[in-house]
Amino acid sequence: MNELDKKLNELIDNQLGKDELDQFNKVIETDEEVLKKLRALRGVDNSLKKMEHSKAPAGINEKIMNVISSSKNVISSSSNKVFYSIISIFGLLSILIVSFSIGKTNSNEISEKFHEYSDSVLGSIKSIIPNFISEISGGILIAFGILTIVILSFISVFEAHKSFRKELDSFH
Amino acid sequence: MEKLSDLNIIHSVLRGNDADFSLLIDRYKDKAYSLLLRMLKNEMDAEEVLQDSFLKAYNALEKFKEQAKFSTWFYKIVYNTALSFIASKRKRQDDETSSIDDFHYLKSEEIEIYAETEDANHYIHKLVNKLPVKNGIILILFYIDGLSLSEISEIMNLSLVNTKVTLHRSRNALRDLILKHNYQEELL
Repeated sequence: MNELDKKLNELIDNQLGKDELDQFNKVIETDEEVLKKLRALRGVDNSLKKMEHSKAPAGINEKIMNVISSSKNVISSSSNKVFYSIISIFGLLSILIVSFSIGKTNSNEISEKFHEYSDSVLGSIKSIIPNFISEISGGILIAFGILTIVILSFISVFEAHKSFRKELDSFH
Repeated sequence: MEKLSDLNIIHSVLRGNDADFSLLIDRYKDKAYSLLLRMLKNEMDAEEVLQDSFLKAYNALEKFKEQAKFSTWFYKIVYNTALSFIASKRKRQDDETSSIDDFHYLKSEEIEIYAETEDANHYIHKLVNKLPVKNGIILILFYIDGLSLSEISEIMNLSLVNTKVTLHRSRNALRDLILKHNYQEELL
């Protein structure tokens, strides 16, 4: 792009300083060809200002809102999966604790072996967790496990109820 | 009734009023669709990318920084989503990199457009659709959406100088065709 074209465009966009503008006006007065180019460029500028947007397809709002709401359902169902996995892990741990305490009361060979094994596992867990927790008895641990399951189940039921209500609302 | 600003709507959506997002859709659907049609040259693809862009904007609404203009932020999403779509479809996008000076086809197609069009304005508007994607989008953002060159350069990830030169070249190419057909007086 040559310097003249650059200046003409800057003139159209009101980007020329006063001195440059005065200088350019003198050129336009004497040079017919430059004037012709300027008029054509102004014509293009005027015409481009009349351009309009193309209309988006009808019903696009509903389609987009449906896409958004279905994507939210996918996210909530995947977060429910995470939630249920946590509950399952807690459930499994509680079952292990219950089995462990039952194993302590039985005296047969298998339960003794299990007892030894669980003692070593518990020992290593006790070495990791703080002392005051490791002194808690088996009964309290079971009660704690059951309480955790009850609380998590309650939260799960509450969340399910909430999402169901939201789904109901979306029908209105 | 007082017109809600983009920011008011965004705050409302973030407070949990999802339905208010449709106000933003209403406000930007035609603008975004025009850009996408220009880039993808296909109505179905443009509609698909339009939906995808609004979904992306909705999901990223919390990340929207309030010091920026929503329109610039949203156009950037639209533009990048369209570029990803083109890349995924492995469409040839040779005109993305081509310069306005390389337009041999513009000259041949221009004759056809000239024969079909009734007036100079119609002729110019048809020609805009034949410009390379980059040039066409800059013209749309500058003239229809009234964005500044710095906003356009931010959306398209171009330097300010490059954006300005592309705008000038696009206008010059159209001007030369106007001169060829002596349309200049009709357009003034």
